[in-house]
Amino acid sequence: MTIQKARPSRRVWLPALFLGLFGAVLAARLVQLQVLQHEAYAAQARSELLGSSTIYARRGAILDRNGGVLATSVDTWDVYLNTRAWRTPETRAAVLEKVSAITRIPRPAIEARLAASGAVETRIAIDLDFELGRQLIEADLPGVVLLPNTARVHPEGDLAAAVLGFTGLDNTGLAGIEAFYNDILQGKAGKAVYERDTLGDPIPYGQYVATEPVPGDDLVLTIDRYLQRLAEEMLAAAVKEHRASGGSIIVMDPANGEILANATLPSVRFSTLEQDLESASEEKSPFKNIAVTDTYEPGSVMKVVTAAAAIDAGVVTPDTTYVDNGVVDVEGVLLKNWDDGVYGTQTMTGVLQHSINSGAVFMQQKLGTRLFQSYLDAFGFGKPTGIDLPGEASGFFRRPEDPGYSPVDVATQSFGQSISVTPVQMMQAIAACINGGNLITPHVVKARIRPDGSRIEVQPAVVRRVISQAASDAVRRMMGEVVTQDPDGWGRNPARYTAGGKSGTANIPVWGTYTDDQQIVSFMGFAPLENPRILVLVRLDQNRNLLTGTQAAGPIFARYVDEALRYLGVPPEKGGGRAAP
Amino acid sequence: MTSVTLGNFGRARARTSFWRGWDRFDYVMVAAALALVGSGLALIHSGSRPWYDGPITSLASPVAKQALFAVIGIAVMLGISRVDYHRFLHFAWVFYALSIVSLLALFALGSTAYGSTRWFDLGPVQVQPSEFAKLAAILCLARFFSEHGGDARDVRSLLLSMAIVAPLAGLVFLQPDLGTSVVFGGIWLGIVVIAGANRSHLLMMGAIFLAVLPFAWTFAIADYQVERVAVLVDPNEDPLDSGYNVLQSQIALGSGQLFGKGYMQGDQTQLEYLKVATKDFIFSLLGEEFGFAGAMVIFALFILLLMRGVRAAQLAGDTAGQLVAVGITMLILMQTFINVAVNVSLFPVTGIPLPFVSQGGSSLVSLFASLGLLQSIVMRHRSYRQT
Repeated sequence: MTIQKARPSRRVWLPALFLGLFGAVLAARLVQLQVLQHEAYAAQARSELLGSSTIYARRGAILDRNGGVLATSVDTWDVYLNTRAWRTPETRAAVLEKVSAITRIPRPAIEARLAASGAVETRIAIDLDFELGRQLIEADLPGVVLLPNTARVHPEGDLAAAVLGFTGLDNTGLAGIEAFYNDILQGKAGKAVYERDTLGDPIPYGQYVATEPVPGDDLVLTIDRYLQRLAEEMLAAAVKEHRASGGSIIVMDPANGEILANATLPSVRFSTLEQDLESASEEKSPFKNIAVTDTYEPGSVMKVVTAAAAIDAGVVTPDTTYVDNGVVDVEGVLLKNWDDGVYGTQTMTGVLQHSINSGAVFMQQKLGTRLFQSYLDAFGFGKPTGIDLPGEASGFFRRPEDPGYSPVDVATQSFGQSISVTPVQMMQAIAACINGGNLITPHVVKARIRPDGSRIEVQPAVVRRVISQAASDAVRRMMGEVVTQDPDGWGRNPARYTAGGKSGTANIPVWGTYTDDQQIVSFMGFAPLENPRILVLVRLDQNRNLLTGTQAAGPIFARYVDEALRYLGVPPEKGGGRAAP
Repeated sequence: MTSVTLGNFGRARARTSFWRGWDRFDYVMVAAALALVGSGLALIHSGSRPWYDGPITSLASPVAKQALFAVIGIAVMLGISRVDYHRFLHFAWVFYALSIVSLLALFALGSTAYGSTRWFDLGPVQVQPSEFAKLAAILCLARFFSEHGGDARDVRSLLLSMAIVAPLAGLVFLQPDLGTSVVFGGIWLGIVVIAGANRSHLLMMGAIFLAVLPFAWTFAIADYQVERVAVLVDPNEDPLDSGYNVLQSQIALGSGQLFGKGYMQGDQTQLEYLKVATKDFIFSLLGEEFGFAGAMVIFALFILLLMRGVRAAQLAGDTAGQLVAVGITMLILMQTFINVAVNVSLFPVTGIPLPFVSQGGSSLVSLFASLGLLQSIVMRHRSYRQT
């Protein structure tokens, strides 16, 4: 091999040049990654490293006024499968078989969920029973992750479902009390933040920061379990008997606005919630509480309000007389009595007893349009009562400044037409008529119990004085006269207690007029007469036997009062049987 | 008298003895290499923690294994530096033939990992023939050009030299190992440039290369390689699969910031987000735990090492030595750059270790062997310098 002299070449430095060039490029790239963009990458590293999970707070329970549990939360598990944890098809099959056996979810259903989800972790069960979850944890299967959750249970079944409402899968209240008081019931969810490895499992001794969940408050309702069940049973029987499309029985303490019972039909039922959710339509949804969400024309019950206003203003007394001709002419429009009857000379008490429309118009005309409508305002019509239930309607009545107003409107308002009200609004107004004259906000929550056990009472909120004590006493006695009179023996007079009340029958407006074969009948009454403990609204919608308010709703009222006051421990005022006045 | 005789004898012996030429031995080069190996051992210790928790003294320990290979490598280096590099040039074609045979045998007998067949599994150790094939290629090219008047000026010798490298690069490419075949290309280019290739020839080849690239992209390159290049452009295109390593190395480096998270504190590594953290992605591990500063220190060591390689090429007494030195410098240079470029997402993921630092016996031993060749050239440059 020949030895050859090395070329004294400057090209030897070319690799060095190469080195410098490439080195500079790589160094620049490093500067970009590690100095300029480091925040972004550091954040990525953190997010990759840190897992977090929500720790649901215990949702507060809902109790009846005596502490009976209506809704509470139990611990459950949500089950997730991490497909990445299975290295072989055999492990996968074994795990799925075991999961299916314990959770009682059929294997094909699990497979379908896994196939449908592209994610690494797939939820296959929500609210798995606590005990089954424990079994699943003890089985210690790879790739099976359980997160604690809670589910709502209702020990009293479907009782007061429309008031309580329900929660969604994420434990957020969607209707009723659950929705209205969601923030209070829900508490504050906690959060666990932990370092995790590539399988997403927390690493032992890794950083673990947790904010403890704050459990929600318990709510004590004004609802009485027994009175509620009584109302629901009587309503169901009545709706069936009178072939009505629905109805409601609402019971309130007139002195403080507490709702003692709120039965409505149709109503949400926890037992059939999922089917009902699927079939519900906008028009006919069973998920609302029609005691607050739907308006109706109250009919003759409104005459009580008109009388209370007229007596308070001093334009009439219960004994003021006028002559009924069976018809009253308002600006050329003839308004007739409900039965086309002519009652001749009548007192104001008689107007209520016989439910004479011309008498109500007489009182309204004595007050004048402005004063009469200012009383309607004072009684709370035309705006929400502020009850603590979601979706409250405000109702409406037409005023002189409104478009399309006619003097006939205000005249018919005096006997409960051309005015829309919610059942709760009507009860609030009548309560003011008989409780000494104070308008009180109706409410369904009596108290909150904090996690530490302290109890915050909800005080009854007096909105304003509407009428004088004397006027209230007078109206109360007039209503007592209505009940005791009962000439036809329909049975609106409670057997064992004194009571007052007024019936109403309103035709349902159809295309701007009224149709005779569709009506809403109601009876609003209270007992005992001198010291009212309960105010009861019985209302039946579209009863196909077409009985009037007195005929259909009156007897239900009487029976309910007898039962409820006995339960409340009010001593009977009368002997058994239907006492004569 | 006796003492004088002894003295003379001693001096006379020294010229032909084992110690001849050791005064010219490049200790700086070896020190740089050992510093790199040392940092490699530290990084391997950190990076192997997630999957190895046995004692560090056990032979199963990746650190101990690597240290053992380093010792073997140093012995090989010393052995080779004692031998005149012309002896190796003499057997260059034998090495070449052996390389071809072993690369061919790989297809039948090799073991497959990460989708490519690069190793012989010899019980406790794995041998990667391409490591030695690279040295064989350098020796052959040096021999070829020194026998052709030390010249690559005419097209014929240029093409012939290409024909020498092409079979090796091709076989490696088929393993498939894109990175190593690029290293072969780099070695050839470096040697050809020093051997005096015509500037216009070089430009023409560059043009041809650029023209062929799109066709290679379509027909010759495997799907996985296309995918790796694609995810290089946008790693989020496939963040859990082929983009995974690209993303994770970016995150590791980026989150390391200027001074790193501290030794054994790199979460991306310690929690195994970063795969093969002791091998191909050891630079990311370095960047995560020691930051930009740490990366610059390693850069400095490589620059020092490569400058010593360039120095060897300058000192070399003859063309063959010069070309061998350039080839070896290019070899280390290319591997370093490709590896770092992969780590900083400037080159598609390919299995090139970081020289002296990455875990891997074949690579370490062959790198020390090439340092031995450099030493041999430096130590003998006066013998062959014709002034």
